Amino acid sequence: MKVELHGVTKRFGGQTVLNRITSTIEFPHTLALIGPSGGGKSTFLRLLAGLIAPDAGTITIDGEPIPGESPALRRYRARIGIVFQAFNLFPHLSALDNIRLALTEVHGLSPSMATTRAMDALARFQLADHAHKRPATLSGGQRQRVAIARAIAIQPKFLLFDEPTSSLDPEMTAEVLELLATLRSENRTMILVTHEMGFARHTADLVAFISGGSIEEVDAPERIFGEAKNPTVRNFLARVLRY
Amino acid sequence: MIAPLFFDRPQAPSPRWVRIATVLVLAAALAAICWGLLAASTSNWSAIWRYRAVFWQGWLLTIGISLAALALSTAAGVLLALARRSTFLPLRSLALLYIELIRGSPLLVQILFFWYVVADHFNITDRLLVGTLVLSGFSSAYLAEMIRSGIESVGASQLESARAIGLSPFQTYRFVIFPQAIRQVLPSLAGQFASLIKDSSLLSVIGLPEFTQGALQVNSATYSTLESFVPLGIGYLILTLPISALSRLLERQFHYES
Repeated sequence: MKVELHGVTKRFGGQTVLNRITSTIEFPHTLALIGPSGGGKSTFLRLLAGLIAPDAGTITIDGEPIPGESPALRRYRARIGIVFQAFNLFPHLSALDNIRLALTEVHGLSPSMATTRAMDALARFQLADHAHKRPATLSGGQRQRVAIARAIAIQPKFLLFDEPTSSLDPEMTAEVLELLATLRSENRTMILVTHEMGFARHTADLVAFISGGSIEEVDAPERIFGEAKNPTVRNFLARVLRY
Repeated sequence: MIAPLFFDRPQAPSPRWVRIATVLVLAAALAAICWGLLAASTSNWSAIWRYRAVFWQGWLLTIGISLAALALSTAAGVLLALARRSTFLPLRSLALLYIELIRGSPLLVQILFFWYVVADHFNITDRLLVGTLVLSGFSSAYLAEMIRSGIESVGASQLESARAIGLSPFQTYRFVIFPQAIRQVLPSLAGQFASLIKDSSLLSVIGLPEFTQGALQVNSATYSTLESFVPLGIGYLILTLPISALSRLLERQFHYES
């Protein structure tokens, strides 16, 4: 996958969150975005997801620019699987219906086909027994796995994860990371924002360090974590990896 | 001492027999008071019985008006709530103006105004039509605010999730916002329906032959005030008490789900 950014700027109110980023990032399967909180990682991911539009600049993915206006932008979003930190699922729908909703209403599948595909996705992640449960009766880890099943079920071009384990306890985090590692081993294309440095180091093909509204460094994980050129990156990693 | 038993606290609830005894003793005392009042007056129930059809028809019309007004005001309330959230400024201002005017003035004044001024001006003589519309218009302003708060109770993360899976704004309302907002609003909606039934009694001032108007007619024909108005009160309670019970049930159900 090849992500090209040209002069990308995003402001919220008076604050510039991403500042004129021009960069080309190319990686085979998995890109991890790391860096301090408030540095612009999540905003960057939301731009790639087509959830927000840049105030200036263009983004192209595999040579195709992200459309600026709905409904083209909506069609673009529909082809991407997105998993957020928490509150992904609709609380009034069962796990199964959470997955079926996009399949029937956005992707035009028949109800029975949608059910089959949703059940397949749930079964793959050992969630078949929970198909008819509402999110409130599932554990945090199960909820994230359902959210990932929902993202997979639409057969997306690529997957985006925004700190998918940040609101989970260590055991549930392990449960979700294991699933992500499985997706990685299937060579799915994915980009994830994560604070799990160990995970980024061992599963990502490429790591981008985002801080202060710009991409400070992009390199293979062993280089970023071993011999980062940029002092900001070195300091950050020294601090977070200390304990 | 038995007195402490009558203090019902969450950490030390009263025993079951105390609850039952309380209800029974209070019911007996209130019944005795009522009986005393009734026995003192020269009651004329047989005259009232002859007019039972007037009561019955009035009661049925009250139910009919309330149901029609509930349906109309729910539909209007949804549209008003959406208008109130519109990004199109003139529409939003108009909705706000309507809601504030209606909620700021008494229903009785609105009934008088729309019947004697507006309906008269347009030569509309159908009391039932005007009465139902005024009641619906009144209720819709209150419902609009309830529905709006229900819509706004659906979190921003839900809306982002809906956008992320590619739902259109209409689909987001249809599949994500409304189903959750309704759950939130249902208890107050039931309460509003009870209000609607009670408020419909004011339509008697324009001579609409609903329940209260029926009782007024019976009263003027028989000169028996108590015998006309006690059944009137009971007739309304028969309708509103089950609704408030339902409202409480829905509230509890929602409470458990969230």
